[in-house]
Amino acid sequence: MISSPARIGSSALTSGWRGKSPENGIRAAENINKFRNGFKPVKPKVLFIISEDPRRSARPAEAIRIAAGVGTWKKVEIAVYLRDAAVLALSEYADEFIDEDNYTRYFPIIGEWGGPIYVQQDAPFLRDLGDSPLKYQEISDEQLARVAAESEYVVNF
Amino acid sequence: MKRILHVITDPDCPLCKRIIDYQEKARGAEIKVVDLSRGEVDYDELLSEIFHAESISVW
Repeated sequence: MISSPARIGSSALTSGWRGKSPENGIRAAENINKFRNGFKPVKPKVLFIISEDPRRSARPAEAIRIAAGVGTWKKVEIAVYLRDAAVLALSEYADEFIDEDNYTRYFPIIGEWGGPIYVQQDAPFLRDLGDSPLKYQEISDEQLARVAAESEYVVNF
Repeated sequence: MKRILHVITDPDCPLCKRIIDYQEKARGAEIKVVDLSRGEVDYDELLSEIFHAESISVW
């Protein structure tokens, strides 16, 4: 029988256990399989805080483009937080925004990855937003402080 | 204890002050603030702080 290198490694690791305690050997093999099949390294988290008005500034559009571009490599987890007039960036209609293509092209990508989109709780601009095609979660400033503390990198636009 | 570094480039940033206040009150982290808008900055020290921090916020 020809074994794959992975199989040889596995039996070598577990054979030492078998002589002493069969249960331990089985448990060790299970743990190795769990490690191989289920282990995912923890990725650094990057939080993009966007506060400027997408109707008057190109910075929110640029932030969305950068967030999507950085996240594409799957090396980090991206989160976006919108505050003040930047909340409008969630709008279905991006026609009046500067660099509107960035919103229609890149914002949905962030949503598809499951990267959370947070919004300032009770932001006045939420009333003007209407229906948004993107899922978002309202959070308080205290929650934002916690999210920022849990992020390795926080960038402000 | 987690080390959080806040690098401030805009002195008129009410949000960053609120966030730093909340994080200090939570007492779950060691907070360091470097304000680049105020006087001379020791960039060697800043670089060292960046490498020591586990979380960096730029405002």
